[in-house]
Amino acid sequence: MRLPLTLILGAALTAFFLGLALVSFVWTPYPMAAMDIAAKLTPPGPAHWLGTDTYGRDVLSQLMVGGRTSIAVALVAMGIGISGGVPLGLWAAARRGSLVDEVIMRGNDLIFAFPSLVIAILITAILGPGAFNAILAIGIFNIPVFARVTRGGALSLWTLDYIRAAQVAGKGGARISAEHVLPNIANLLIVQGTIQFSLGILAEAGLSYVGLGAQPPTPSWGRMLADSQTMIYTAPLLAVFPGLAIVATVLGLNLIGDGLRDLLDPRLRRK
Amino acid sequence: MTLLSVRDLSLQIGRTPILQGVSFDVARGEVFGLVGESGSGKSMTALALMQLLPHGALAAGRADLDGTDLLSLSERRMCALRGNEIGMIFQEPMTALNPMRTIGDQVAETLVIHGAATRREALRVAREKLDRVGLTAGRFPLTRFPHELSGGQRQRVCIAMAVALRPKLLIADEPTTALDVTTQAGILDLLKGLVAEEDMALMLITHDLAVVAGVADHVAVMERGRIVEAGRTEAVFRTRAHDYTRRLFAASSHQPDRAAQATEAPLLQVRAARRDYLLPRPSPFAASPKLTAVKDVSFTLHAGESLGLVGESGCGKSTLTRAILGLDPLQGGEILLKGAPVGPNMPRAQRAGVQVVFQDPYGSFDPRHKVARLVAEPFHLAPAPQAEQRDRVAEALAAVGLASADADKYIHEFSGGQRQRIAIARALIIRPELIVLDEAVSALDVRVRAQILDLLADLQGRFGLSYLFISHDLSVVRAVTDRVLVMRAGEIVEEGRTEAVFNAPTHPYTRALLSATPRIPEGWIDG
Repeated sequence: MRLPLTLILGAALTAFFLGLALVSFVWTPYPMAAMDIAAKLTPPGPAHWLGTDTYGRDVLSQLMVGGRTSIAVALVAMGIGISGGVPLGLWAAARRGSLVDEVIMRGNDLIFAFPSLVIAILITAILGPGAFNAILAIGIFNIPVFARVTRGGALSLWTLDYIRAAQVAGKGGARISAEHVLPNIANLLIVQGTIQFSLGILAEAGLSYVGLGAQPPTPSWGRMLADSQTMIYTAPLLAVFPGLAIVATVLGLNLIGDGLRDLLDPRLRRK
Repeated sequence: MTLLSVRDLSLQIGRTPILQGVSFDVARGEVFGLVGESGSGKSMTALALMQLLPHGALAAGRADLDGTDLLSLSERRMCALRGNEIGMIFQEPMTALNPMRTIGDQVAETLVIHGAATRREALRVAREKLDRVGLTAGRFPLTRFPHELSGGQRQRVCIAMAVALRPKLLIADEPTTALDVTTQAGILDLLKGLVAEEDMALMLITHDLAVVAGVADHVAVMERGRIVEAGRTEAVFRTRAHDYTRRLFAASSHQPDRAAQATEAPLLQVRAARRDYLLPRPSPFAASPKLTAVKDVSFTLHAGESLGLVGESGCGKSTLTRAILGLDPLQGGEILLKGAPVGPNMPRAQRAGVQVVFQDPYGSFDPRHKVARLVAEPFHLAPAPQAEQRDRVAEALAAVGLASADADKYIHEFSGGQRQRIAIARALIIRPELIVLDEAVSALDVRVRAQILDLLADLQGRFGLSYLFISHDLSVVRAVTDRVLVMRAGEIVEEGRTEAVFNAPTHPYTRALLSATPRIPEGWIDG
């Protein structure tokens, strides 16, 4: 069986940035936090491939180490959203119209009613700022998103004959949800997952910007983007590199999402 | 006088030929029937005339409507023509109307778009047309919304829209297939009347030979994108010169070979079963109103028997089926299978006694599982070791006429008829005593239907099965059941041996059902 081209491209792109982040654990061109005020705002060149920032720190090194924070925060937050939201959505759909459904969905509405940043500020105010608490804050906000998408997709499946056939075969709600519903809404979840991942990177940037995300000197792509904002006229490239990294990673994940969808769907699978 | 003359119409989508050398004529004041099985290209012919073909389709040939070649017209000219000179009605009246707009608005819209009338004038014409199609001002003011109407009434609105501008040609694509027989008879009468009155031509596309026999003046039989036989309806139906026409006829009146094997032992007993639904509350403080879908229904199905349950849509047969399958609880009475109660919480061994085959061969299977796993699903009720499961899957597939290698395929690799065989294999796998066939052959073409009916008769003989055969199609029920129940508005109105009920119905509703069923005239078939 041939792997879809989109999957290969997406995996390569994502692996490149993931690789950069992983390499940074053992090697970076310069120490990540080393300042060289004399060489501040150097344009890209042989000494500093991507130039230096306003403190003279090497942008490539910052980008590599920052990738660790950004990818980790977004991935784990997405994971929290999926592991919390998907079961809730499946449960609500299996008991559609019941009290359970109402409680779950109204609980979701309650979380939705607050802007994510307000919840994040609340959580970090209680638990203190830092990358871990940022993950928690973003992850909690992901839960109702996945719950809603899951319930919506699952509801339309519950009216189909093959679900009725499974009921006639004596299977209960949990089992039908796992065997028949979840695989058939995987497309939806994969697409939503890539969206939430990119939003996660941006949310982390937002939290860092107000000082509630990764704490200096720990860099993250979002923090680099936020920091470069003040220099946008003097050194626009400072914003371009972390921005490109975010765009390329999200693109890579989207391609993986498309590829997985093709790979998982027997109807689209080529012989 | 010829109105529409189609010559050498051919069509391909990508590289696949869909239509080849299709030629026919339709005259004013005449009904032209286009008959064929699904995939024969009859709907594509209509869409080609309207230039509403799917993306990537390429049509060639000529189709002259009153001297203008439809196929060569620009999209702008076609827009002026559609609805104006050619009207069209579709199969599914439930989705053909915009739910957000009133019926008056929708009928008037056609006139306004084509600049034929001012809004005020258009609404007057709309009223007139709705009256004509049988939706009178008293009960159906223009301000009604589609959801307030039944399927048949909605189809009447669609017809009113299609004839609002007095088109020369009306194309009706399976206009009554989604409707009940009694409703169907009314719609067909209406169409026939309109053709005569307005001197328009009607192109009636259908898979149902009996409908064509009753309505069409001329008929063309289509097979795989070609017209294999055409002529005056009676002549074509009497002579059946082409082999394909003969096979279609044989299949539509097919009587499977079955021996009565019903015993006196009761298998399924339904005693005063009642099913209520709670409707949405009219206000937050009012109690939910109740709708009783099944009202104290009682009957007994004996071991080895085929029992038919006939009724029109909304009569409660699906609700009753769900209760018999033990998916929903009853609000009164009881259902016993082999003497033990049936319900949502019945033990697995009890549930294993009844399995089901659904109507839609496309929605009945999880597209992500292979056939082996799909067919083995009921083993959940009667666990068996892996090796034995594999053997029994192969055995069940063989019993329904499929190869054991098919177990490793996905469901999308099979045709509708094959899928229905797989559905039967799934129902058979744990050897239930009772199989509920819920409109199991309604979605199939006549020739495939005949094969499936033969298969069901054969399996019944071999495994001593009992069938509860639920259908709206009286001719099928007549061919395969020993006894029949007629259901209306949640109640059984007539019950008896199938032949007796069909030959001498006692209840007025049964009589109405039977007389509304389209039939090919007796004299046409013999010979």
